Amino acid sequence: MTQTLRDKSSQRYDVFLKKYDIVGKIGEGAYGIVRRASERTTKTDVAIKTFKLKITREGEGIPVTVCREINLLRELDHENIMKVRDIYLQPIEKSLIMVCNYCKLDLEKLLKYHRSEKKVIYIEKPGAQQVLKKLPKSLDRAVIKSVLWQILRGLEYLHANWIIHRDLKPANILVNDTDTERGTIKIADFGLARVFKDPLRRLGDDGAVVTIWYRPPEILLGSKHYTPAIDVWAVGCIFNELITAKPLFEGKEVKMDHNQNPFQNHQLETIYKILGTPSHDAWPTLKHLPEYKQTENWERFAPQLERHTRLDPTSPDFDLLKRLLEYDPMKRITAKQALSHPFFSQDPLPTTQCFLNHKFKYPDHQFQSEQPQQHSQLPSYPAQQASNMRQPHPQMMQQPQMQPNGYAGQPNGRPQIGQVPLQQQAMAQQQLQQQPIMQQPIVVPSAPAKKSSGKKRSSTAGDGSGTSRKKKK
Amino acid sequence: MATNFWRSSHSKTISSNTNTNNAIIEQDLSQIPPGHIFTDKEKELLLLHHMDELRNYGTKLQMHQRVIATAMVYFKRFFANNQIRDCDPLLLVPTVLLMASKIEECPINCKSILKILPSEFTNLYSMQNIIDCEIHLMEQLDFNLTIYHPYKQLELYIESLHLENDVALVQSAWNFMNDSYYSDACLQFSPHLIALASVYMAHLFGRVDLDEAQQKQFKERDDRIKKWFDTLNVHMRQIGAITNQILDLYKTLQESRTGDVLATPLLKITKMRMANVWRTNQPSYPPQQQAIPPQQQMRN
Repeated sequence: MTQTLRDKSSQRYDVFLKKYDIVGKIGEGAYGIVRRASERTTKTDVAIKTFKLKITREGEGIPVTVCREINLLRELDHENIMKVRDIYLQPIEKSLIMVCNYCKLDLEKLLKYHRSEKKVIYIEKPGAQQVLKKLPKSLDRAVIKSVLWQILRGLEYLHANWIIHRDLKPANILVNDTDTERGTIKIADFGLARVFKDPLRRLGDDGAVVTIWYRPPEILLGSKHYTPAIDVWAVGCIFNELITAKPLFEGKEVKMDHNQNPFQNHQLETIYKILGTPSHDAWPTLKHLPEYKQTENWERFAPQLERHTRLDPTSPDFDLLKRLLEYDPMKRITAKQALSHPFFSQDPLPTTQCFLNHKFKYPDHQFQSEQPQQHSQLPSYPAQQASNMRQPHPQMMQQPQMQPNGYAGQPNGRPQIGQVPLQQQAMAQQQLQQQPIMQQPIVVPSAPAKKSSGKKRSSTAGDGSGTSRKKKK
Repeated sequence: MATNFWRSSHSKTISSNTNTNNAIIEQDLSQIPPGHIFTDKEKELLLLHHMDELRNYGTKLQMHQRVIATAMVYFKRFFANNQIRDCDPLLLVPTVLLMASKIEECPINCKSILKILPSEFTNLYSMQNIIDCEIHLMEQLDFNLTIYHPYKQLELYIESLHLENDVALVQSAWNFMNDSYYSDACLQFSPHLIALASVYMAHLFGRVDLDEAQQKQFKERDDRIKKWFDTLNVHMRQIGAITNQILDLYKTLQESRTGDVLATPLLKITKMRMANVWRTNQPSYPPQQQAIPPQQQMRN
């Protein structure tokens, strides 16, 4: 490719820089960095996800997870699915930038706030004095219902369009909570999602899918051909987690160096202990599954789901939970059927704004420092009014100090989005144009990366969310 | 998405794909060395030549027909919005194959692609060049990567016409459909129309060589096909336009095979390759052209 292609990228990137104002970093994972920004003209909040295009496997090129995510999100259009507004290419680092809806919460965070009874802003009625008040330990039944209903709506849309998500878990279910849209669910992270219509290759050949606690029994038993029912199982797990604020099947993941997809006996046993060992009547095709032989001599467990949930065993709520967690994927309720389950036709009716009558105001994402070493030097800044949801990030206040010495504090001397004022970015680009590209530090690490780290990150909660939670226990 | 073509990005590119090419060509001709400019005809011939290669490599790699077809659409779309000087078609061929294999969910490693490429390629480019090119390809496709193909529709139409047993006609329709990927039809028309046009052409040209007795024999079938087309709510003008594009394509192919029209653009592109115009590691144009003043950049 030539300079002209690079120029075209730079021009598009300039448009990006002019269009959005970066506010601060809100998250980081194996995939890259997420920052919050606002669109200059409309003042809309957006999330900016930057994919580091590091090589996961030599000769793979753009990781297949990134290709899937971009390909699918570009086509999907539903209220309960994360919407991609724009995609750009950062021409210097060659990273991809995805501009998405900004959501201040995900279900994992929401549950964490409730579990720890976090003190948040509480408004008795509009206009009333704001006070800080502890969140209750568990979520409201009406909120749970609306959340579940919206997840199922998004899932029904995906399945109707022949897409399996393959990584549903609380951290991937975002909640948009603004003044106008109070609690709309957005299903996110399509790195493992895949179209299952006319596959040219078996789905089972994709390796491990679904984060271990949310992985359904048919996959744990080694099924090579699975169906959208795997997503429904995960929804069942999430449903109970919303009720008890605690994961339902907390198995330990078996890790082997030589085998990327080993038999997860502990996770399967955890499920059997709660739901009972499946019988051949309940699941006729069980005996044909590859790993079934290994489970034949296991101790038999009796079902005792009611002891692991707070639901009344005679309620429609419990009936829906049981149907979502049906062993046989052929008998498991579909997303579409679940939406017409009696649970959703009972009062209170589900809504697309699950916090509509909520008096608590959940906290926004905490901004993270882009350079940890500067953190200790932060000037103390005046206490913010509680009503001001868009607090300036301490770093933004610090920026004037950074200007004289250009890229002070940036380890590699390269501009990064979100740090350098626009003027400086433009300067950096001119500098770049005057020198041959090859003199720029190469972004791609030359050392061979660990095998398939790309796949592991999304299927095993490698972004730290799952593991950090385990440590606490 | 996978079911609804009309709400897809593919459908949107078709409706917006009119007349964008020429606007780009006129814009920045003045900045380009004359040796790097190709006429429309030369560009078309060169691209056809490289698409032939694309098909060959895909077959050698035992790629599924759908993957090759997706790669061909990427190739066509890329050069509908870009010029030859933007990217060496030789480099883009393995790049579109790599991208398409991932999007169609049967990923192939770049190393395996490299193994089957001729020395003409390996002398000039490395694996890193393909990987660098991939991200620009993605951007130039505007990140719209899902491509719909007419295969399913063709099967459906043949079934609805009860022509499954007419092997000659079915084969001929499949050939027309596969050939359509070389033309611009896949950029301008929905896969449904291309499938219809393939049936139409197979029916139309299947009769050409027949004598009168045979024509009578096929009369019943042809009348049925005609009636069937009448019941469809489709403009025959569009079917005609696709037919013409495919026929024009055959004419161009004929030319490039018999005459030496391909010689001039091939020589030009070889010269550009020798001058390292497309090598990533080297600045391709003299420095004064690189530093375009910001105001001018804005205008572009």
